[in-house]
Order: sequence, then C-alpha cells, then structure tokens
Amino acid sequence: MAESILIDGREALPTPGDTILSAAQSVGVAIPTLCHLETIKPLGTCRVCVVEVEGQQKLAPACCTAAAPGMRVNTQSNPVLATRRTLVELLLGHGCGGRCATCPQFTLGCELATLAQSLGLREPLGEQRPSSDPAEWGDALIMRDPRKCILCYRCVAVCEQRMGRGGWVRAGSGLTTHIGTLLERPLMQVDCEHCGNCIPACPTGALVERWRYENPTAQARVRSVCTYCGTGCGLLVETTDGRVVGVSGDPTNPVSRGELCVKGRFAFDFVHHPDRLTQPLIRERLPDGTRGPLRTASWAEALDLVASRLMAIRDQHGPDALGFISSSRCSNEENYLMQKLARAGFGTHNVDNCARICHAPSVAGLRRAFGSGAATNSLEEIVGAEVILLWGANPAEAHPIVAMKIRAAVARGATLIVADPRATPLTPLASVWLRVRPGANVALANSVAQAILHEGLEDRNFIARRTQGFELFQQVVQDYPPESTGHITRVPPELVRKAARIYAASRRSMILYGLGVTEHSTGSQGVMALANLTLLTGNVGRPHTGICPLRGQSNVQGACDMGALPNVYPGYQSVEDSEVNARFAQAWGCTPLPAREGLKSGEMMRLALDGRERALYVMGEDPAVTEPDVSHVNRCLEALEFLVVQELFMTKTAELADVILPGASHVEKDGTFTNAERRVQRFTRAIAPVGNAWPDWKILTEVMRRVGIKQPDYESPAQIWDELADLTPSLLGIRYGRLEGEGICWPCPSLDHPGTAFMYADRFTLKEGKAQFNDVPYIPSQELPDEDYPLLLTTGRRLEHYNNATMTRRSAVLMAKCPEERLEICAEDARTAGVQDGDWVGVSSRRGSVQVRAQVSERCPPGVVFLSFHFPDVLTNLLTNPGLDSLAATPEYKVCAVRVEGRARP
Amino acid sequence: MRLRRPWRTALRPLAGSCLHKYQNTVILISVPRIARGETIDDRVASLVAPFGGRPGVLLKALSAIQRHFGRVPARAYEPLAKALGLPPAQVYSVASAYHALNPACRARYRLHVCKGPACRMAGADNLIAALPNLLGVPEGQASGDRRFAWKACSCLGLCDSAPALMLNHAPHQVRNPAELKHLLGNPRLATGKPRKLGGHVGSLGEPRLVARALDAHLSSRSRLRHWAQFRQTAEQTSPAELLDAVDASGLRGRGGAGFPTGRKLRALAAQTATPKYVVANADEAEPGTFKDRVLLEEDSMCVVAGLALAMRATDATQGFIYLRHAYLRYAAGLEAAIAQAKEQGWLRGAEIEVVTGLGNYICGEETALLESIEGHRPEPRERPPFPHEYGLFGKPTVVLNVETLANLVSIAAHGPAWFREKGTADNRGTKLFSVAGDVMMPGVCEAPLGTTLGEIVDQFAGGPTEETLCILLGGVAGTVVPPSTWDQPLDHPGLIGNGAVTVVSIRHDPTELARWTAEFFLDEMCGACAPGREGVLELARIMGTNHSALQGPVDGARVQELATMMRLAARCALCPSAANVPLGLLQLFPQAFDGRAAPSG
Repeated sequence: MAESILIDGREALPTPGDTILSAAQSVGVAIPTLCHLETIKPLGTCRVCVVEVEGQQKLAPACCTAAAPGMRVNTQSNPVLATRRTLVELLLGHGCGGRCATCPQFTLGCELATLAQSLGLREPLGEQRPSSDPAEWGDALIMRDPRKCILCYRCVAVCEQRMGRGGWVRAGSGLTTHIGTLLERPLMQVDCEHCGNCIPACPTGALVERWRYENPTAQARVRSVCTYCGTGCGLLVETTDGRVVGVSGDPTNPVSRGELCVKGRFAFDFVHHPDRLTQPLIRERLPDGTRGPLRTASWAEALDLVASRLMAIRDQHGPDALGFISSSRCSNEENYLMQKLARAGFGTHNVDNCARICHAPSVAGLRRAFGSGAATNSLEEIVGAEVILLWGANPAEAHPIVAMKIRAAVARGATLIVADPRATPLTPLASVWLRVRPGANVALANSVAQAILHEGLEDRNFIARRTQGFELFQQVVQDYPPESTGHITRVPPELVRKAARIYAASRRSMILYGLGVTEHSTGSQGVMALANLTLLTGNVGRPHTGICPLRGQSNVQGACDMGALPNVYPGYQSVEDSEVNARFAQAWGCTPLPAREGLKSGEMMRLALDGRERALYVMGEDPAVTEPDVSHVNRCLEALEFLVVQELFMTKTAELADVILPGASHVEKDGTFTNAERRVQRFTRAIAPVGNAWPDWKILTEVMRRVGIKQPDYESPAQIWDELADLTPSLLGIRYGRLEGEGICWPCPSLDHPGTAFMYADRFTLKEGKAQFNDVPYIPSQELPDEDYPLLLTTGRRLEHYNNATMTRRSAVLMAKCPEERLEICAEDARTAGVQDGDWVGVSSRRGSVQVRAQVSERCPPGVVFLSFHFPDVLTNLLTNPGLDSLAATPEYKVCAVRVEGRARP
Repeated sequence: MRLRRPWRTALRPLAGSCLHKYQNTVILISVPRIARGETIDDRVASLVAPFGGRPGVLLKALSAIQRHFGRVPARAYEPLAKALGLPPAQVYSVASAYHALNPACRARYRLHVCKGPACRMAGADNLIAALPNLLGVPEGQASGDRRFAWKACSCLGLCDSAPALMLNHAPHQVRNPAELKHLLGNPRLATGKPRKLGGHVGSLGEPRLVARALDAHLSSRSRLRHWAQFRQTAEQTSPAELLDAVDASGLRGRGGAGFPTGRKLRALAAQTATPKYVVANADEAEPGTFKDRVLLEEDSMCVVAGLALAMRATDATQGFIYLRHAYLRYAAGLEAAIAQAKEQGWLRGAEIEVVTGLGNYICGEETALLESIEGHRPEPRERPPFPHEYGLFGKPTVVLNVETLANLVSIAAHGPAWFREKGTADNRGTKLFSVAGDVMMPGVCEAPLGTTLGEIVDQFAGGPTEETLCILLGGVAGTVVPPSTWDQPLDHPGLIGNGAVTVVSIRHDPTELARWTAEFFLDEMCGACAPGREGVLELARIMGTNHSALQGPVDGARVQELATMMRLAARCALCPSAANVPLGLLQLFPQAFDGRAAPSG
C-alpha cells in the first residue's frame, strides 16, 4: 500500500502530522530519545532517535521527520546503532561521567543512564563538559548541576511553550553553549514561576528539586491529589521517617500528567509547620459569658463536650438553631458525614460549604440550564478545542495546569477569546479580549447571543431538537444589541460581534469560566447567560464543547455532590421531595426531615445576631476572613452560644471557637476528591496525622457516635464511600477498587460503566430530556462607584497564594516570591488619587478600610482597582459587599465601591 | 512590564569617540543628539525606533546597539526588550549567541586579532601572546581606563594581509609585536578611515568579475553610466529569458556546494506563495576565504544588480544582503549601491536591505543565516523543508553567494555563450580563488574553472615561499591535499570548494593545523545538536587546544568514528566538516600523530 510506511518490517499507517517516531510507536517499535516530549514541539537536538531511511544518505531524526508514505525505515541497522552508541557515550563522558552512584536522579530513572545501560555502555570516556557556570547552583527550590546537562533544551521548551515564561533560555554558542537565565541571574530574579515543570522534563539529574538533593532517598512515594485548586492534579508524596520530605507530579494522573504549579509542587511546608494544631483545645466561658483562654483537652473530653452542647442547644432551641459548615478542602467522605451529622444527627438541613461563596451559582445556573450542576466536559478536552471562550477566570494564576492546556490548544491553532476586566497572563494570547466592566457579564453574554442571532449563526436544528424556552429567550436578548450595551459593558460592539462570530462558527467551542462570573449578585444569571450561548450554537453534548466552571478548591465539586448544601441530599436529590426525604430517613435510620431548604452559610451567620442561630460547627473553613464584610461576620460569630472549629491552623475563626478539633491534611488521611471535571480521584495516606490530630472523618464519626446516629463504626473512608455511593445514583458504579488508576468521572451509574467525560450526549437531565434557555435580564451590581466611593474594587487570586493562605503563607519560598499584598491601580487613577507606585494607601468602602501599598500597573482598566484576599494584614473582605446572588446567595466579591487615598505608612 | 532595576544614571556624551569618525562609513543609522539627563532606556529606544514593528527587528536592533556601544550593555537588555515588545529572556538568548556582542568588551578601542590558519601561520599567536603584556589585560576584558579591550577571533577575512587585526572597524596588517605596540601607540590615528589592505587582485586569462576592480582609473561617473546602460539591456530580457540564460550558462553556485544556480532560481520561480525573498550571502566567514571581499569592496553595485536580476527572474519582492560583521565597513558602499540601483530603476518597487551579521561563522550556513535575519538564534534548521519552500519568515527564499550574483550580471550582460567560453564541460565560467598562506603574493585570482592548483599558486601567487607541506582547499572545513596534487584541476565535484587555497609550508606541524581546526569549530559551532557539539568537543579533546596540546598518539579509527557519527546524525554539514582536515592530515602524515613527535608551536 502506497499510504503505509515500513518500520523494521512492520507496516504503519501514518496520518498527516505523524513523525517517524509517532508512527513507530503506533506499531510498537520503540525508538530511544532524550529530547522528545509529547507536550512540546519536536526539538531535534539530541539526535539519539536517528534512524535509517532507505534512499537517504544521512540518518533521519525520527522525532522531527515527517512519516512520508512509502518510506522504509530501519531503526536497528549497524550505522544507527553505532551512531547512537557513540553519541550516548560522548554525552555521558562530556557530562556527568556516569557517576550515577552519587546522583539523586539515578533511582528515579535517569533517561541517559537507562539508555546507556541498554546500549551496553559501562565506562564512558572523558572529561567533564567545560562550563562557565559554577559547578552547581540553584535556589531554595530548584537545584541545577550544569555538568549533568546534556543540552536537550526540554526545560527551555517546557518553560516557554507550556508555561509561557522565559525562565530558562538557551544561551551562548560554540563552547559556551549552555542553558542559562536572563543575564545569568538567579531564577528568583527572572521570569520564572518556580512551577518546577522543568524538573520532570529533564532527562538527567541536571535539574532536581532542592529537597531531593538534600534527601536523595525518600523511603516511600504515595499517590495523592493536590489541594490547591479544583483541577485535581496528581501528586506523589515522598516521605522519610514519617515526614513529608517532598512532592512531585504524578505522571499517571490523567489531568496533570506529572505537571504541577508552584503551589502544588513546592508548598508542602505547611504539613509539618510548628503552627499546626495538634491537640484538641477547649475554651472555657468566663462567668460573664465572654470567652476565656484556651486549654488543651483530651479527645474524649472535647468530643463529649461538642456532642453534649450541640444536643443541648437542639433540645432547647430546636434543630434549626444549629448550623454546619462543611469544607470543600475535605474529602467526599467527610463532607458526606458532615451533612449526615446535620440531617440524621440533628434533623436540620442547615448545612453548607464554601461553594456558597464561590461556585454555588454554577451549581444553580447549570442545573437550571442542563439539569446537573457541574462541568459538562472534561478538562483534557480543552487541548482539542477550536475556540476557547475564557470568561472571568485567570487560570494562569489560579489554575495553572488548565492554563497550560489552553496554551497547548492555542499552539495547535485554537482561537482564544477572553472576557475579563483585568489583564491576565493569558490575555496576550487572546484573539479577542472583551475587557468587560466588572458586573456586566449578563449584558455582555446577552449581547453575544444577540449578535449570533442577528447574523443567523445559531444552530436551529439543535435548538429545535434539544432545547426549550428559546422563544422567550430570543425576545429578551433582542434588547441587547452590542451597540446599545456598550455603555454598560464598555466593550466596543465590533469586538462583541467578532467574538460572537468566532464562537458560533466552530463546532468545537468550549467555554471556561471562573469566579469572575459567579461572584456577583447576578452570578447565577451570568452562568445561565453563558449556558445559553452553548445551547444557541449547539456547542454542548459533544467532545471539546460545553461549559466548564474552573472550580477553586480541591473538592468543591465533591462537597456539593455530597449534599453539603441546604437544599439537596447527596447526588443533588432535592430536600423538597418528600419521597427523597423518606428514602434517606430510612437509609439513615432517622425520622424524615422537613421538606424545606435549610439555611445557607451567610444566613446562618446573620441569624446568629438575632439569636435564631445558636451553635455553629465549622470544618475547614475560615468565614471570619473569607466572607464578605468580615467585621459584620465577626460580630455574628461572637454572638454564637457555641462554636466548634475543626482546623489545621489557628485561623481567625478558630480564635473565636469554644472547641477546636485538630484535623488532618490530605497527606495524613485516605479519601477521595472530585475535581472540576467531576473526576473522583483517590488520595492516600502518606504519613500519620501530625501530633495528636485526627483524620476529619474519624472526628466526625466519633461525634456521630456520641450523638447517637445508628451506623457502623467506620474503619476506613472506603466503608463510608460504599454507603454514600449506594445512596447516590450518579456515583453508584464508583467504588474504591475502581479508583486505583485514573479516577472516574461521574455520572457512573453501574459497576461496568466507564464514567462520563462529557455529558448530555443524548439527553439533558431536565424534563423531556431537553435543555432550558433561561431568559436573564441584566441587573446592575448592588453597589456601584459614586461620588464618595469613585472606584470599583474587584478581587481575585495571586499565583503564589491560595485562599486565606493559611497553607501558602507558611511556605518560606512562596512568601519570598510574593511577600505582601499590593493594590493594583492604573496610572490614571493613581494620579487622581495622588499616589505613586509603592506608596501606602488607604482603601475604604462603606464597610471598612484597609492599608495597603499601591502597585501602579496596566492590569486594571481605569476606574477599577484589584486586591486579593490572601493576606491577613490586608483584610480585603472588610471592604467587600455582602450583596447576595438571588438564587445561590453568593456574595458579590467582584464588585464594590471604594475610595483610595494616599496615606503615610501605618 | 515594570523594570526590575531601571537605570537612572545619565549617559555621558560620547565626545571624541572613534564612532564620530565613522559616521559616514559604517554608522548606518543616525542617532539623535544626546540630551542632558538622557537615560540608557531613552538611548536604546531611540536606537531601535527606526526598526519598530518590522519582522526580524531583533537582529537589526542588536546590530544598531552593537555599533553604538560596541557590545550590548547588561542594562540595555530590558529597555531593548520593552522597546521591541519581546521577552527579555528571548533577547538575551539571541544576543548571547553572537560573538560580536560580548558584554565584557566595554572599551573605546576594541582590538580583534585574527587566528585563522593563514594569520596563525604568519605569527598571529605571537601577537596574542604579547597582548596581555602590551595592554595589561587578559583576553575579553577591558583595561582599567576603559581604553582597550582585545579578543582573538576566528577569522577577519584578511588572510591576504596576515597576520591581521581590526581596531574597532579598521583593518590592519601587523607582522609582529613591535608593530602592534607602535599601532597601539596612536589608536585614534589607527581607527581613521579604513585603508585598503595588501593582497593583490588579478586573473589568469581574461579578467571578468575582477575587471572593474582592476580598472583603478574608472571614475565613479563612468561606472554610473555603465550601470545605467546595462540596466537598459537587462530590461529587455524577460524573467523567463533570464532563467533560460542562467540554465544555458551552466552556472554553478560559487559558495562551495556548486549547485546549479538555474535550478535554484527555477525552484523559487515556481513557488506560488508570496512574498518571495532572495538573500545574498555576504557572510563569507570560512578562514582562508576572502574573494567576496574584493567584490564588496570594489564592485558593490554588481552584488546589488545581481540580486536585482535574481529577484526579477523569480518574482521576488524583497532582497536581503546578509553582510558579515567583519565586513561592516562595506555596508555604506552597499547602501549607496542600493540607493543608486533604486535611482536607476533596477528595483521597480522591490526592496533590498542590508542586514549585518554579528560575527558568527555558522550564519554562512543558509538556514542559520535565515534564522539570524528573522531575529532568532543563529542555528541551522532541520531540512526538509528546504528554503525554496519554507525560507525566510516561512516564505519561499533562495540564498545566493555574492560571487554567484556577480556572475548573473555577467550572464545577463554578455549572454550564456560568452559565459560558457571559459571553464570545462561541467564547470563553466571563471571562479575567484582566495590564495593565501605561505605563498609569495597572496590575493584574489580569477581563473577559469578547471585551472590547476599549480597554475594558480605558481603563476598568480608567485609560488610557495618554502617547501610545501600540504594545501588546504576550501578553508578549515574543506580538504587537505598533498603537494602531489599540484596538477589537479580545480572544479566540481573535485577539490574546488569555495575556491580558497591556503598553502602550508613545512615550517608548520600537521598536529598544529589539526588543533587550529578543532579550536575553530569549538568556537564557531552553534552547539544546538548533540552529535555536532559532542563530536567537536571530543575532536578538540583528541587534537588538543591552546590549553592542552596533543597528548599521546591519536587513534585514527576513533576520529573516523566521530566523523561518521557527525556526518550521519548532525543537523547540518558544519560540524561534520570539522573532521575533514584532521582526517586528511592523519592520512597524509600518520607519523606526526603517533604521539612521539614533540608538539611544536
């Protein structure tokens, strides 16, 4: 056959774009290489992969030679083997000299050593590579030994292509050719994120983590899942003598394939940090009812106190005087137990988790549109998408692995459209940047829909067959032509039309969005407005389409799936359905609960002030920092009769607690997380809990036993999982035994079901199997700039820190990279406010004020300033507005009015 | 982007700088007057402003900065990157690859001493040995008063004036340390208007290419008239006729490979993608080769006219002349010729641009040259695709040698039949030979292809100075032949190469030659692919370098093994050619490499 090529006598059928290397792989012929990586463009530098192509004088590098039909390739001929042998011998001889015994990389599988062994090379010749660099150098995170470098340039390519950065560069020429940094500066001073993805890419031991350099032989490696965002990257936790010594990427993890960000790879110091809570603590109330000092207590005493006080308050004030806040950084099993404790133990639906303050609008909005409150497609599909519409998300800093997938897609020719008021590292890659005013998402999305309809680009067939509510929707968006929404969105109409055309033209258009959409008083409407776009163009229900919320916490999806929400049982089974109530009551052996929703977290706190909420059990959350208008929240928490906090560190909330129960981090316990793409993944215990801390599931089990819930004494999370999976149809087929490999995306209704990467292939899970268009009019944000408070404050994250930063602030290196908060303000507004770069300023809103240093930058448009909420000394949530989303009660973190004034340093 | 360390120190005006003297000859861009309080950021921005937004801007910007500062100051990287909208890391990566951008050389007078084989045979090593004492600084560093810095470099293209050096942009022949001391005594004078250096130009038989160079009395006005007349003749020839004429002439490329030029041009003409580019390779950098220098020096219009013809024949709209850094002094002449060509209507709206290299031998390799123009690191590309399909900025491109272009002019002027009168059946026309080394009268000789080695050395160069050990043909990347090949005709696919003939007398040791070759490649390889880099490193280890002369016997089989590995696996042909001369010497003089003879020099 003319189309085929012969490789060592085996016939391969290459597709366009195939190289000899990929064609050989497809027929099982292994060709060694030291510079090729699947994730980067072929480099062709090591030439170890050279093969003989019949009719060519030179050998061809298999990694960058197109597999042309009719080729006859020999990978094992004498010239090939002799060349490869000479080459590897030289690389070894001029480089590390084969001193594998002292190299930390050797046990990890040094690619050069492995190849040399397979070629039968034992004693390489020669001297070491001459080098202008000091023999070894590095910084606190990454160690580098140029003698071991074989100049394959993988690290440079990974830095440039995967991360979009310029940390490592190819430098010099001739004898001085080397891998350097800008002007040979330390990595800390160049454009390096310290993601460390160059380390696993390195085929030798030239780049290693500093911790590995210092602990060359970790005793055990345990698979785990990163907790720094909802992407669900795989970790290998390495331990020695019961201590975590390091973390590396898990190459078998389907989401991250061994890649990690700076937090995931290096921010593990918190596990053994001296600030960890290691003993249960009890605070006695003074006779006047105020809080006394904390004292250590035994577990039995603390647990007895928790159970007895909660029961007493229930008996006295009724079950709804209790509130339970579960944690999206705890496992599925623990979230299940928490809501079971609330419902079965105390008979209240007052259970919530921090999705309330981030992606609850996604759950609400996507449920109304499609029937299920989760991402429609998997994250891996990003790479194959043709159009990516990134709305209100900054994945390069908040979800770096997702950003890598977006970069890969753009490199493959995808078009990126970004809708974001603030410049992010991905905006330069965007073909269209809709610099929307914060709070105008609904108006903008409706304008995009209007533009699509106006130009007749909608998918009539899809709309007719698979949706309902189109007519009403069409009427509503007619009022939003891009020309007339410009004064609201501040986006030029031609850009809106351009984006609409690009998005509607492709059959592989994918929407990714983040908190920039949800954290508004119209967050749910924003989500529905985006969902409308997918329905309008038929871009849902197929691979590389759909709409994916980029979720912020490792298990925020799972916490919602587990029913740690006031309106649903596990698997989003409504509490208003009496049949569901009865079924759970029967399963849990309790009396059926009332068929009405419980309180949301914000409501629980507000009601504490007027005494309707008496006790709160908070697991792994810090509302005193993360809720909006925290001065008000603090008053609420202080008003509580009884506050239990289950935590790793002494947070602001824990400082108010009556009982503090020391929980365990993810490396100290077993469990499962569900990531943003609904993938349930196992994480395994690597070390025993620190000090006298307990795994959170064990703490909850003990409380439940004392409360008198009839259930077995769980011995492991697997047992809890079996119980919850039996009660949750979408998880029915997922069992621990099936989670050893790549995890499973729900829905997975039976044991032989492979899981669901993209949903709604045939039908939506609403009535008649049809998706719903939601007509969502634009409603302005609750607080807009005015004369007194002329600037709009929007909030978000920084790369180096995570959430309230209890974990990342305890990493010396991350603190060195990002030591303090800065107010981002544009030059124009800075001039008006009379401040210069680096000046201390006071930022005040109607609710409070903070002192922070200004950073004059081009990231924010005029009229908008930006703060993150990572630093306790700049308590951004003193400023934010608690205006709530009408459906999901998510606060409007992204918009409030502030005033910026120059101040002397406090 | 916020600069990490903005430099607020004002620059001092460069009063009295050598640069002022060169305003007319080498400075191609005008720098605004220096304002009081100007920062390096402002200066860099004003230097690169003329190139803003155009493709390949980085190389031009780096050249401009090099010409202004003599290097790229460390503090210029960030303002430069900002002005060009590129990541600073990328700017550093590219700049660090170029020899001419050495950041250490911050001095008013920058001395480059040639260590090409001809210069070393004539005693360049003595100069290099004397310099640390004369200037009081080691190589690559500036003297305390920032007056002098010196560096040895691979080749300056002045083999006919060996040993040669350049003080800033002015070339000099300096025979011994005493002369060097004298020269350095008055550097301001020595950096005056560049003088023409030694070496004679001549021909065996009818002078064709060198005719205008030989005609010293030709006034510039009569040259102008000549070109204007010729343009009218050329105008009457259609592109198709031009291609036919080139095919009929049997012209082969004069850069060394000898590929038929007609086929190259046709391949470009057949491409449908636009724009198309024709690039003149004036990056003659092979040690021992200096023939193009004569054309650039004496007849720059023929390069421009040849380029214009090639562009017309192939429907290309943009031409580039990639000029070697050591030939920077000819840039002004080329610019003038381009202006003239425009005036006379040669270009018909097309553009020709002079791009100056930054001192790397590898840029003579055509794909590395294209990468260099594009503003990337000068490293050869993977082939296929070939430049006529995917060349400069991804568009169809041909790269032609300067001498080839000059021949195009001859063919267009006199017709293919006239061209074919000279040479042999398969090698038509005349060729320029660079004759240097141990001969009585080194220089550039035009002779018909097929002329023997002996004729060129004896009749043109006055014969060898002493008994001949061997002859290097085609420079250090070429071949080495014994004196017994005296009667061998020089043609393709024979020994001709690029026409460099370097005669080596018995005063020199074969191991020395092998060592020089290895050293040269160690400096000049791009370092990108492992076979080339590691092969050259190993070759240098075997042959010894300055710091470690040959130790013990050389294993010929091992050198052969390296050569085969490099030839089979390296990305381009540069590094594999590093083994040619050592292998040839090993074959001719096995006893010299057996480890018994004491290494000389």
